[in-house]
Amino acid sequence: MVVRIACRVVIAAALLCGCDSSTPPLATAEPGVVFTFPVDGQRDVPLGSRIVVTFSDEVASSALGSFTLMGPAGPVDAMPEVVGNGKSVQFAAAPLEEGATYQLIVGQALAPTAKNLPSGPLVTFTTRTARPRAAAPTLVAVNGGEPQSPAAFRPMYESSTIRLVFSEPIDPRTVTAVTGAVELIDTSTRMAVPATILASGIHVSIDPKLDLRAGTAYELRVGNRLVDLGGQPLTPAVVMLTPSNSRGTQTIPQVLRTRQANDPGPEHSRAGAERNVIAIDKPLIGKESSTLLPVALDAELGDPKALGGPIAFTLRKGQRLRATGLDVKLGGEISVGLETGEILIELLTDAGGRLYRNPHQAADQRPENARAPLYVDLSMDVAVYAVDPKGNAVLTQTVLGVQASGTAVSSEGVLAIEAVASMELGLLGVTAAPTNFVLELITDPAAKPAPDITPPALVATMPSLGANEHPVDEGVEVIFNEPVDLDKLRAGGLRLETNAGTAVATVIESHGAAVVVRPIAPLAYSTSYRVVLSDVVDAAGNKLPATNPIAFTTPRLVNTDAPITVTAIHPGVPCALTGANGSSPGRCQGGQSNDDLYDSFTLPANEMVQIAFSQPPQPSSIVRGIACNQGSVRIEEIDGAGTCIAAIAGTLMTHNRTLTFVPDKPWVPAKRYRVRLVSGTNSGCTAGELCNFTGVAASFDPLGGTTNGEAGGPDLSIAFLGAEPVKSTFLLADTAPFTDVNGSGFVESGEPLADENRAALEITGTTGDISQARFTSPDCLPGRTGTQACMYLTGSMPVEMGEVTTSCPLPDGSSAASCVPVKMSAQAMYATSVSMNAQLVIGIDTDTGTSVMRIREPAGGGGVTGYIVNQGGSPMLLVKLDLYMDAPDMSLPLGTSHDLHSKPLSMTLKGPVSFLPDGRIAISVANTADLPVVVKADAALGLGGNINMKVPAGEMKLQLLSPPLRGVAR
Amino acid sequence: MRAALLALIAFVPLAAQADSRVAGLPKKAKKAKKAKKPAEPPAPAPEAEPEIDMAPEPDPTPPAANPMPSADAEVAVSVEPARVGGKKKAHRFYFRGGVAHVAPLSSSRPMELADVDGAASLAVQNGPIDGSGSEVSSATIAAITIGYKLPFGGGRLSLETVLGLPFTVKFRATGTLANESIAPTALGIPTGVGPLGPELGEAKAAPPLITLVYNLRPHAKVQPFIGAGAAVLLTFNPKVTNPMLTKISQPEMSIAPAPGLVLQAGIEGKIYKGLYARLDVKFIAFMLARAEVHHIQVETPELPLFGNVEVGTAKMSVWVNPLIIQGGLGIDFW
Repeated sequence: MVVRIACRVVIAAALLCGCDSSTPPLATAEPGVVFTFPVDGQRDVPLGSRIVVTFSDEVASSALGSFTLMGPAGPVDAMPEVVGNGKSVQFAAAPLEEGATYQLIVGQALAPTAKNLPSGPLVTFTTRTARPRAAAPTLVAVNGGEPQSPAAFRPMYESSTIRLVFSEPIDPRTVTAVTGAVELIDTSTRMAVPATILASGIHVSIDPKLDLRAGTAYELRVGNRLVDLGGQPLTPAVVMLTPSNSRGTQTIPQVLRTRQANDPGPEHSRAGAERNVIAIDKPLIGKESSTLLPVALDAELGDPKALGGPIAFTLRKGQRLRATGLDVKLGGEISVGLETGEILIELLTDAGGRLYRNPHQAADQRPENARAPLYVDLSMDVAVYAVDPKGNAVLTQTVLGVQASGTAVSSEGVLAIEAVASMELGLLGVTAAPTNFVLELITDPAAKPAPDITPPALVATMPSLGANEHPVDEGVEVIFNEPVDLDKLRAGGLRLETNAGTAVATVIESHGAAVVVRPIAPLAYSTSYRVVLSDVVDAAGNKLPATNPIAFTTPRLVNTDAPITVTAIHPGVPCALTGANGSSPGRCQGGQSNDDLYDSFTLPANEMVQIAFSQPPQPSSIVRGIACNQGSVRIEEIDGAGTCIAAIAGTLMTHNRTLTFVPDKPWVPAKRYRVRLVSGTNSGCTAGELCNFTGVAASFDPLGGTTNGEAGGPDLSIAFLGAEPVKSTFLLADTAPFTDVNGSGFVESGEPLADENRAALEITGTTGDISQARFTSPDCLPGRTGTQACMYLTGSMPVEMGEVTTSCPLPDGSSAASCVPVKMSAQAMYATSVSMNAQLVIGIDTDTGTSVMRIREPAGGGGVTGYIVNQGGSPMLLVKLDLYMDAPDMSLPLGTSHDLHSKPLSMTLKGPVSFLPDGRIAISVANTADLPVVVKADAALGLGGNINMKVPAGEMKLQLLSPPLRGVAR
Repeated sequence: MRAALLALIAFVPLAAQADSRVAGLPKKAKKAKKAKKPAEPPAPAPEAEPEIDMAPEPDPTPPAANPMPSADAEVAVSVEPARVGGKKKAHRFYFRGGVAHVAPLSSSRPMELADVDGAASLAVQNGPIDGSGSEVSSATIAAITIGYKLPFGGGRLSLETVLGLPFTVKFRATGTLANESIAPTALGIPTGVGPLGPELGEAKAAPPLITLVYNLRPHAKVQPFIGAGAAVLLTFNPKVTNPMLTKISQPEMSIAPAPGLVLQAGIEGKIYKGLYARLDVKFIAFMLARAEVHHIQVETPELPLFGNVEVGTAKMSVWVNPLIIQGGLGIDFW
């Protein structure tokens, strides 16, 4: 018994002694800052980046005032907030200026226990600027550092992709691996290093096909064959690069995968944001987020001893992250029927970086999870695309120079990496959205990346197969369902050639899962081309099945002596003005004296001057004035009297039918500016005058006539005030397809009859002395009773898509609970001539000539507002338009006059907003009711009468398309 | 660290421990005195010994029925006559001084790691390390046995404890713990952390124990006895001595008191007057010594990114189960 009891006592005691109790780890690091984004010294920080500082301990929320962001003009007006378990402070959406240097200052009061706060700024960073510049472009950063010391910010290793940042966007047509453009030379052999070159805007990435040799000097040359969007050559630069030896005697394979719920790792985010979530925030679509899905990535770790501490790592190209899809809704509320399906993010180049000790601690401080987590630096170039074909067409894009920074903590047997990144994601082809994401990966040797065994597929092209109106200066978009091997394409796997088989010089650009075959020089009009896909493979080597060539034709451009004119201008109206007074810039010259006076014009600081023409201008006639009163295109600062103070420094980008001017500095609110297009005094094309493609001077008073005889005349002069930046989304939508390619006002043989943009006129009767009238133009609606003559419409429309709003007044008097307001400025549509015969005592045959339909501003000025509303689950645009209709060239015999001058018309247009297979936004509207058009003719001897016409309901069609997402070299 | 601990064995530190340990005895002694009252006056000694240590026991058998001590009655030499009320009193206390050899018959569980976090978790996990083990070194020390003969049981029962100077026990690593790196790689990266080698740590130890001894032949010249009781291993000043584990800093080591069940057998006999010689063997069973080493930091020479890492806590559980062989001389007294 004694023994038994003793045993029990002993065992019980033993059990008691064995009770577990955890012992917290030693904390040898000082409390304080553990992470920041951006990191100190970071350049090219995207606007819209979340700015965050994370501390080891909770911050004093009452002292948020000591968290200050200093910009060029002093403290930034932004409200910090405490996030991330009380240990992080962020500016979620600080209004950053492009290309500016900021300092983040953190006072001790915010983190009383912090021991590592500097006396000066905690972080200094510079924001991205992708604005074109008047000055010659320069190379401003190599791998995140100064070109003179390219390894200072981000060391270069054997497998590093070389990432360049330029001072302004580079014309992608010039970014090629040739002497004078981009060269990477092995100095030991003086041979060029084969590399894949990607370009997008200000970024160029050079990914050597084979890893470089450590210790070998490489010479990076960028030369003056690179030009900016204004055609200015680059200031050449030579950068010496010597990769560090990160591999030593071994590389170590590792597998990373996205961390999921219940996976080991830290409980709370270090970055103060939801992990593995891509957050997009833009008024156009509201706030959207996409969650990363389980995926594994193969990684290579360098030799841990090779760098004496930091460990380099590489994620080879071709690997992918997956994320949940987006259901795109305008303003976050109005579905546009566009679901992306799963979103994929593929590494287009070798991504990589390093693990290194926390820079906020002493150099000899060992890593500790709580106060001194490891830092991670990751740079990558990615393709973003989607599973859904249409969603892919809209979304797919290449994003270069993504800089992720984060922390890595070792926990429960895994290294958990939480990296913060920011990028600008192109959105619906019309804007870029700040996109912040937190990528959390953990090591998992058991994870296996899924092999890619699916061959690529062709999803869409622009132009589509058989199209006959491809603009001659646009590239051909070839959209696949996944990124493809650019090197193969550039080696002849994809080529553009004429029908006769003559190769066309092109560059092939990466746009995510799409490529653009961009001709070096504009294509010829009236010519058939084809894109041949002979060797298209994805990164894994899966080959595109045999695919027929994509054949298309450029439009026929018939010579014309009709002058070129402006169909749209932003800011302003497309006509020379007269009748200005103290409160109005006037009305269109050539119109009626009682025409509406326009309201003053303004241009938000974040928008550009854009001009659309009725014909292709003669390139040589486009000369931007660099001093007051010089050039055919003048953008000037003026005083109150309209006197030029100075030409605005900036970049004028010319395309086939448009001009875009981007000032070096944003427009200053309340400052006076003027855009002037010079037409000359006659039809001849002399220096300093803007002319059409046949050498006829422009005419900017189309109400006075659009024929050759009316060429020259008053300049188009639009004075405007700078205004505060706006959050709305601007796009210059074009009528497309359109018929009047040469802008003559007539339908010439070979010009495509575009049913999407036309108004079908129908004669309903006559009155007075006009006994009868009929169209002599072909019946354009043979399936409809009677004869309809079509006026084919050409024009462009500056559109501002605003933020979603409520209680929207609709044209029919009702209201919608919510809508996206769409503001259209008072531009003009040009309609082709129709022919008719009327009996006014005698038979009269006449052509209307070009008809001009000017949009009238509503009372109070400003543009016309339409509303995109949700109708039956689809977005629908409704807008009421009041127009002036003019037929300035219509001439009746025997002194007969007509009243098609500033003839007021009113109609409601309604139609869906949709996406084309190539991703462009299409607004396709038509009149909701018959539109009566009554033409009164008055002849001599008191004779006269009316010709009653109408545009039947639904027969005035207008299709406005957003610019091609990728095809235009911006 | 495996190992741990060990040591158990222990003997009560003479000074301090004797106090607390013996502190309970007087009460028992008082009880015993009470119990003795019916037996007084003591029966006449059968032999001419100056003192008879055998008190009349509150035996089930009435004293009158057993007036004479049996032939097995224990006789002890007293150094000091004890008189009560002017009469000779039987010596109830005895001591035997000599040497004890403590030989742990140790077996260990694999060393377990706990609180593994941070970088160390990339290389090792919480839980046992396969193939690892630890053991405790043996020790030979001076020790004395202090006993008290209970006033009942016919002189056969006594309580005794062993007092001794604290001794140093060393913990040694065995198996993979000694011969292989416990963290050869982290994330597939060699760490440079080598085998620990045999040396782990040491501590001063004392295993106070108390046993109830039954004398099989209390009055014989050679008296075999057996006993049972309880022991607890107490340690102090534990420290890690492994060079690898102490290179960065000195970890904190703690050893929990480890109770055990004592089985005892021995023999003693009077060798000269009141001087006794004794040979005693004790086996302490179920003595599980648990040692913990906190904040172990090791250097990672192949991973300079870390430089060194904190491993967390190492837990060692050793069945010490020491065999204590003790020989000595002594007398009965008081």
